[in-house]
Amino acid sequence: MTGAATPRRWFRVSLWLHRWTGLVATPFFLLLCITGSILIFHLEVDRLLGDFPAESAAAGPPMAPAALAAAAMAAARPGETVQSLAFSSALPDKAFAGFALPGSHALEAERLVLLDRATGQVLPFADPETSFTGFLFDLHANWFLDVPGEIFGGVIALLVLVAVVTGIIVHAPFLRGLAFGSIRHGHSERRRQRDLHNFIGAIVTGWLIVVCLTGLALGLGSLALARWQDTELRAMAGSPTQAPVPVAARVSVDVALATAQAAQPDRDAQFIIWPGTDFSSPRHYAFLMYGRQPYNERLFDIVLVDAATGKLAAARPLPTYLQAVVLSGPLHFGDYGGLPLKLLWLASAWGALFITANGAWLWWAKRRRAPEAAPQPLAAE
Amino acid sequence: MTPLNRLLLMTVATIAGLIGLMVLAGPARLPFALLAATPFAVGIVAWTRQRRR
Repeated sequence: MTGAATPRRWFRVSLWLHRWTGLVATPFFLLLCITGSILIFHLEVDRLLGDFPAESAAAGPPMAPAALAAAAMAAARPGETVQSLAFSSALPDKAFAGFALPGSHALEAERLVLLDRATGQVLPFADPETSFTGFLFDLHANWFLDVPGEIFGGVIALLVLVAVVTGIIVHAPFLRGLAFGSIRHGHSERRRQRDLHNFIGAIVTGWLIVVCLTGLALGLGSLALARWQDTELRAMAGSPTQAPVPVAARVSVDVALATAQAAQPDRDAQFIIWPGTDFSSPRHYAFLMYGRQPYNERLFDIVLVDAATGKLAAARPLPTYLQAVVLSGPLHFGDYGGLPLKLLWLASAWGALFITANGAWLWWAKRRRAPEAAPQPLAAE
Repeated sequence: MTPLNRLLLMTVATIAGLIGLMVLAGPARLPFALLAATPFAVGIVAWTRQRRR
């Protein structure tokens, strides 16, 4: 192979990859862009549709977990018990209580109830399984197929990532000699559309790389979580054959929380999980302790507290692969910088929507016309 | 600066801005938000200059 032939071959391989990964991903990615555009504003949409209560000033200091769990029982169905409590720094006046039937271990299957954190009052809240944004989220995140759907979404993210990287290789040479942002009018419609494809593509390339990489990580998130549950969580909890602690013999969740807080004084418990779930163990409470600093407010350590004695059993940070998954969430949904970042995300999603649709059109328009020579990288038209 | 270098610079600026905003910025988010928005600002300026021509 000669020195001149190598870049040419590289260009042709990139062109083929850009075209076909882009075309295969197009219908799925269009749907992801549309649903993602709405999900960026999911809280606002939920409030507009009455699926989530409006923001309100906190009615007082937050209740302790045991009292909050007792208050949540007002909304329990026969046989249900509180299995988890979740707080969020974004909604400091609210708490989510998760209910489960006896014998149910899967945290994902629990029924959520929204509470006022200061009064324990149960608030109106649409089940995410049935709300409009919940429907869109299931479509966006797993195509209604649970884990296989999440992996499929990861594959789509990978295809788009390949299309973006090869797009840089394919389109950059065509811009040589053109001022940035040039849209040539007075020529063919195809040329104008290609200029638009290059122009908007250049603007959203960085965003697309971030969203695709994080989408890929999130697509593999359930597998990573299952691996962590099977390995590290089991190792933290000790022998899997240990007897469960009867409910009556358990220390109060408030006592267990005090132990966890003493072990991690610079962190806050934002997720409390009772013993007997797939995120705790038959004899341990689990606490997800979130950092208070900007660099760790999205990351958490796991603390297990013995439900029989109230003593600390184990405390560990997340493994790196799960930290990557956790940090991918905000970077994918753009919900960490207030309204300006959400608007930036929306503009980027629409830009990506445009170049995806117009890229498919460019391919179709070329096929429809009389066959023409393959594009040459150095011919700037 | 060649188009490819400009494209790569904009791409890196966007990624750095988006990650920096989340991991480092905290309350002082403006500089990172500006970094993340740079490609859009450059695009808008290029677009308006080109339209004027």
